[in-house]
Amino acid sequence: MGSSNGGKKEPGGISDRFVALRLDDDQIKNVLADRAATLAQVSEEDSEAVKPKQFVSFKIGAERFGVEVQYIEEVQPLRDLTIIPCTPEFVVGAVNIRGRITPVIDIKVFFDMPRSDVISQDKVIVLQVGEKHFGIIADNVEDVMNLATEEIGSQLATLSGSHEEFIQGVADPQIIILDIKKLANDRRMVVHENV
Amino acid sequence: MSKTQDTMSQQLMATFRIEADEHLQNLNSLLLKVEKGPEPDELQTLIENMFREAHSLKGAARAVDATFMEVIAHGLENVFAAAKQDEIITTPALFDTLYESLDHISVSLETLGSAEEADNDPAELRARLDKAAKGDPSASQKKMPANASKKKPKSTTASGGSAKKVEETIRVSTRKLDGLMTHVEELLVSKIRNEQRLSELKEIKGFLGGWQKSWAKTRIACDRIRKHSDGDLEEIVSFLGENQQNLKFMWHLTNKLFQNYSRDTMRMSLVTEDLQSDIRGVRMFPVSIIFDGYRRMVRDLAREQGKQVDLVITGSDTELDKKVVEGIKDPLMHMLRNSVDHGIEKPDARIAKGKPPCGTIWLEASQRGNGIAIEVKDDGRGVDIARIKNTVLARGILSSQEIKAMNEDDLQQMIFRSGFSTSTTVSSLSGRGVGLDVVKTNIEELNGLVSVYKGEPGGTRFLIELPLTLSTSRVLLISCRGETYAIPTSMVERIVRVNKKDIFSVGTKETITVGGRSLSLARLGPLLELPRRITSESNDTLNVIIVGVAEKRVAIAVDSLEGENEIVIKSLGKMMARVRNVSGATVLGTGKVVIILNVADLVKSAKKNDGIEAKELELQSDNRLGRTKSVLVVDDSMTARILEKNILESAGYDVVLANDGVEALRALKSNDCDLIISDIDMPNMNGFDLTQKIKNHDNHRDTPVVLVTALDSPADRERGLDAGADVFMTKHGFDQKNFLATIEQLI
Repeated sequence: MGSSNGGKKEPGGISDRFVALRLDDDQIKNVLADRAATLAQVSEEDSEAVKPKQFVSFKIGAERFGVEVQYIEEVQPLRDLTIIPCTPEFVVGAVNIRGRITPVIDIKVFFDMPRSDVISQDKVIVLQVGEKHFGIIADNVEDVMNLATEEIGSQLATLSGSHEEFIQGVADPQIIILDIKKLANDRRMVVHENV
Repeated sequence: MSKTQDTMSQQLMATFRIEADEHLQNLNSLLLKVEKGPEPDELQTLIENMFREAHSLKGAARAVDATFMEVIAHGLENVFAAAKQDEIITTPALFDTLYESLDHISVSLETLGSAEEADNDPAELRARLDKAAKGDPSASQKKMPANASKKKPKSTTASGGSAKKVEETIRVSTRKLDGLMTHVEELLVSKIRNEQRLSELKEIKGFLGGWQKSWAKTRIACDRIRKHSDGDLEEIVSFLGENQQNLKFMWHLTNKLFQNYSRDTMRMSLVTEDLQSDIRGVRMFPVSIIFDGYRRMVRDLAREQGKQVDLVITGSDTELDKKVVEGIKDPLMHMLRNSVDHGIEKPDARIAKGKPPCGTIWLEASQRGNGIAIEVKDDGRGVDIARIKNTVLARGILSSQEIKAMNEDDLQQMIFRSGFSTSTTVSSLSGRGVGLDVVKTNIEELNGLVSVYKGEPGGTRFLIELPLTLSTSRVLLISCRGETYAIPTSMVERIVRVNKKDIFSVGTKETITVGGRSLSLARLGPLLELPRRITSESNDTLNVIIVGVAEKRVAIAVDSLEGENEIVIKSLGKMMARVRNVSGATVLGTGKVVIILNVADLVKSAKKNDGIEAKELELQSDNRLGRTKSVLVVDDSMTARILEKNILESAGYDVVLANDGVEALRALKSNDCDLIISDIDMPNMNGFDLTQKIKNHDNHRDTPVVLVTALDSPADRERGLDAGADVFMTKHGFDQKNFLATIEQLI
């Protein structure tokens, strides 16, 4: 989108604005022109798309995933997991998160990715996406990072096929950014089976 | 329109809808009563009430500018006012007009505020109401036998004097109530946890007590050492003495804490339970709120079909949880429609059969134990068994052989099968593509049961059994392949221990006989598709629970029983919308999530799973051993008893339990035990004395005794072995594998 801070490592919204104040007139003009162009483009889309969003990255086996912070309620150590019988394989079980029963899923199983051998899987990332309350199992929660839309590349190194739709893209270093909203609202995610 | 105005008017509309709905319901039921031709005195009150309802409805409609509704309500008011003045002649046509007016208002309520409303000018209806109010006579000559004493319409408010005094009420949104309920449920979990803490505290107290006692026993030895020793030892001995005092003090403190805490816990438990039952009470509604609406429906339906039906309602003040009441509304409506459509015959057909021309449908609600029962009975033609057979055959649901093997009762239940409908005619009101299978599903979702029987006077009787509330329930906790599951106690008919020798095969089905009845036996593990674990299932007996849905009973074998508990039922959330064999989950006092099983599903799964069962059975049969060894566990701590019992049972031993030495000796008289595991510190008779008694007994001297103690003290060990104990074990660092290996060596 040609924004001036496109390639920067740490695109912080506020500091950018401070920097902009010290620019000379021509530069300000350019910035404003850029902004105008950007705003015009995203009119139908979410207008916050240009602002960097916060993501949490976590590891499952060798893979790194990223989830937008706004959907994360908390991260808890995985304790007292109860198996939910008669559920698909991607449902790992249920845990008690402060009185609330929370189903826990394994995103890698859902994506048909090969299971890695060495896994501790001792963290649950508790998510609330709309009405859906669930947890994702993880080996380790690594980092909180700011990512602008353009920093999420489109090349998919590890995923293919039908599950591509749940991936926003891949960020450096090989972090698979999940489209958690789409994922949570997908029919395949909901267990609805009769005997 | 500004946003605040908008929300205000929305709120106003919502309130109006609720109010108008109430008036409509009341008017409907009053009108039905009037139509039946009550006594003059009663009639007078009924008309007075109708007038007041119509008047209030008019006022409410005016307040929200619902003009057409106001006009109709006004028309109704005029008719009732005229009826009060005895100036009106009632005809069936008049009643139809009045019902129509109510329906009109009801429809207008739904379209309120929309564009449709504007097209809905009820000019014609209004004209008819006006005519009726002026006493315009229609076909019939029947006069409404109204009152002699004439009351003026203006006395509307004052005339309430004779009416029952109503308790003061406020309207609270159910969302708020649900919020309260959720908090109380949380409190209930805390209560359960608190009780758990109390028992942990008791354990600490017991431990300290034992420690203190065993320490006290060293005093004589200490004194002796002090006498015969020099300074160094003296210091240590007095230090030990001091510590003994400290320990005693500690025990006293703990004891005090335990006593105070248990008092507080009890008080909190009581208050919590009161609070819970109060809140539950708030959510309870009399079934009349749905039952009353059915009168009108049955009347309309019967009229439409040229039938005469009397709906007799009893027990409409029976109260049920709001969710349950809402949940049974549609199923009941469907069953009543069914009765009118397919049950009750036309008057001439009834007369030909020697029945009264007017059919009767009974709708009865009553409290039964921990739940309520709702019956829908009719004196119609009953369920046609021959037709059921034909349909079942034609649809290929069952083979003719299977049908032959079924009794009439079982065959009747086939009408709940999906896709089953024996009715050849479909009326406008019934049918609608909804079958009894949906009724069954809906009721099962409420943890209820539905079954059909032959009615007494030859008709049909549907029985619905429901829990009082959906939020808490008593459950049986069982374990299977290392996981704990809960089964609603109301669904468990009985619990039996079945010897494997008594299992026989019918085809591929494992079958057992319980109380003279043959039941197919299913194993919970394969039923729940649990991963198979390598277990040394060498048990000769199985723990079997017999569960039932309606008339269907299935025996399910589980690994062990863990007790009964009151639990708060929780949902697994939106993501687990419907899981096979699972109806919800709960959180135990320990914080652990436990899955609640869906019995109706299990029964179905059991029927499907027969093939898998047989295979697994073959695998297990290789593991069979000779006679099951039985172990007597003696411990005054329930936790310890249950812990040991579970370990032993899962390893295939039969377990007998005793509280103390005295009980243990009693138990030995009536049970053949291969091994005794006993605690040391127990009331009445301690482990040492017990061991001595056993070893001196002619019949039991060869029975191995394992002494288990909280504390590993060499003195105790010596004393135990002196008394004749075979093995001495400590609870500290209790290791299951080691424990079982030791036992295996001994017997």
